[in-house]
Amino acid sequence: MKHSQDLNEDVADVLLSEDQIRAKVTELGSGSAPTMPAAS
Amino acid sequence: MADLMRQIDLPLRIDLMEVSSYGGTATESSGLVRILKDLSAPIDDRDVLLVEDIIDTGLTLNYLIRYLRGKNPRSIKVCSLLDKPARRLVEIPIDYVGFEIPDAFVVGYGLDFGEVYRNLRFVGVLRPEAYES
Repeated sequence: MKHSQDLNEDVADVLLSEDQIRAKVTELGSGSAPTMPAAS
Repeated sequence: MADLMRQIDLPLRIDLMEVSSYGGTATESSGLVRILKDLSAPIDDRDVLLVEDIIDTGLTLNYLIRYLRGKNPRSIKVCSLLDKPARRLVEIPIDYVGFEIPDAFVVGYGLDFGEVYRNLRFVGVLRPEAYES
């Protein structure tokens, strides 16, 4: 079983930080995030 | 999912499905879907928000939407934290998107490879040697 340090070492780049994700989830949940119109 | 539900100020119910694609490889979806756990309660005449972690080819989601429509909900909308449009094979209306990301193998914040990495606190690109070995 790999430990957290080993898991981190398997990652080449951090694409999205925890802060970025939490901020976006808050936007999505509040309905203020941009939405894409449903295809007709 | 837990983060999102705490931000939605509406009366709601949470239900979970577990699906597994098969016939592909460890990193490529075939679009063939096996439902390992179905919904626990009926959704007829309910407004349904289908929450995904990531959408890439769209094959699994396309199957799920069709499957859920058969349960006669009032509406179905789709929300995904991540969208990988470069990989899309079927057009699917995604109503709420967190981030569009490039075509890279990502893990963390709930996303796994072989059931590992889900507990990373960020979304990161996995080194090829971690999934090719």
